[in-house]
Amino acid sequence: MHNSFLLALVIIVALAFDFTNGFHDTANAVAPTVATGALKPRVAVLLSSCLNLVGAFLSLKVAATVASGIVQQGQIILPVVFGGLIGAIAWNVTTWYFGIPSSSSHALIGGVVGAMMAHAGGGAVIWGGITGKVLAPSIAAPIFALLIAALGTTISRRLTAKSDNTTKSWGMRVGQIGSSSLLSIAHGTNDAQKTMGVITLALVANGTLGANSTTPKWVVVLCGIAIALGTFIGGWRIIRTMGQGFTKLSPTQGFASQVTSSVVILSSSHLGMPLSTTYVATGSILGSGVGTRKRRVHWSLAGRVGVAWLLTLPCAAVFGAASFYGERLFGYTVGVLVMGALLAIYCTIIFFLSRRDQIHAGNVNDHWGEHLEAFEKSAQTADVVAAGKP
Amino acid sequence: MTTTTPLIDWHALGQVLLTSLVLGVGIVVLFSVCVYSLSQFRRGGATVVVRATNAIVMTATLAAIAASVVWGLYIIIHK
Repeated sequence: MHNSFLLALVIIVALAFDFTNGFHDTANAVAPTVATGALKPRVAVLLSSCLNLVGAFLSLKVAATVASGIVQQGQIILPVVFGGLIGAIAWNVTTWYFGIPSSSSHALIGGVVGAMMAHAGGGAVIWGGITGKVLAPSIAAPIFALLIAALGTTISRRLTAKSDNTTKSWGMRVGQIGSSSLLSIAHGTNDAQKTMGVITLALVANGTLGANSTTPKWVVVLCGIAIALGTFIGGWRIIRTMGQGFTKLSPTQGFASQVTSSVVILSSSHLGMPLSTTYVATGSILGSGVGTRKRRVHWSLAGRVGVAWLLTLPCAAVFGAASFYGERLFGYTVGVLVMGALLAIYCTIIFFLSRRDQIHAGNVNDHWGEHLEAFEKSAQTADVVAAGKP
Repeated sequence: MTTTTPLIDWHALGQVLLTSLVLGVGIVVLFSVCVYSLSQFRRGGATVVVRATNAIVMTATLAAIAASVVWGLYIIIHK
């Protein structure tokens, strides 16, 4: 099926998704750096966006997995890809509004799977691929990250216990700039490839490329630029959640969590696993909290985020399926325009709602909220009680 | 006789865990040693030998970190 108009729309929406992926996931690389003051917020996102662009050019293994391992390529049509992208963007924007660090990758995969099921039924979905290549790594990777970051933080804390605080704090902040840079490259390598995979899928569906073709260079360039621009905008709401919400990050914790996230993401990318960089970064931050002497972690917030993680795949799938049914209702060519317009209206509403409680570079490190204040108070009370014990 | 591919690639997951554990903890340990040496280097009253030793440790740990990062990126780009 050749339809250049539809293909162009799909590519535009795919790049829009890549942009939301960038601003949704800025927090993964910069939240600890911003929270500990290692870099000023604007400088941190500028550095991260440049390195995301670099990372996009490093590898294409994940793109290949997304393009060929999730749904049957032979049955895919452009409106399915479009519906999947609409579902993913809708879920990304919703979770961004609530400041939830959910997975853009799962949103994308969920959206495409939902739209595909609406089009051709469950038989067109490669369930083994989803379980083996998406779900298993996505469950395992944050657990790995949590354990490694906890171990790294504990060892680092003990090794530097006799260092003077000023040198230690300065040294770890400098280290954070390096580890944040590495993490930004890792994010660009892993996440930009997912959109490359989807555009490749669309090109295959349109007959522009043959099945199992490699990603064209222009797709790599466009995806790299889109994710870099999104990162530069900075998803401040999620940066605040990850930097301030889960635990009070010290430079040592920030460094250990960022190094852990980088190596887990890069080693997974190397093996072609499209895991969620957000889950890995969240696992690392939680692990760095576990590795502190008082093990202060805001588990109730982590639990709420965990529920959002569980909802991501099914909710994005429902959005994707609904979008596909909408497209089919109006006829595909008019339908994609209608669904695209509905998405634009939804995003505009969310944008205006977000302005009531605006989070930006100037207030991203401000007071987090009542729930964390209560948590800190209870932790302080526990310290006083512990100090009073013989 | 037919061979079945396992649904979950445990070998790849194990590789991710092992690589991440060695590199993740290794880099954090090396950098912590570097920071500790810097702290000792800056401390007043240290002898020339102590300062020189700390300077060598700092340089060696930083070089090891840089080498591991470059090596990791090289493998990703060239495989």
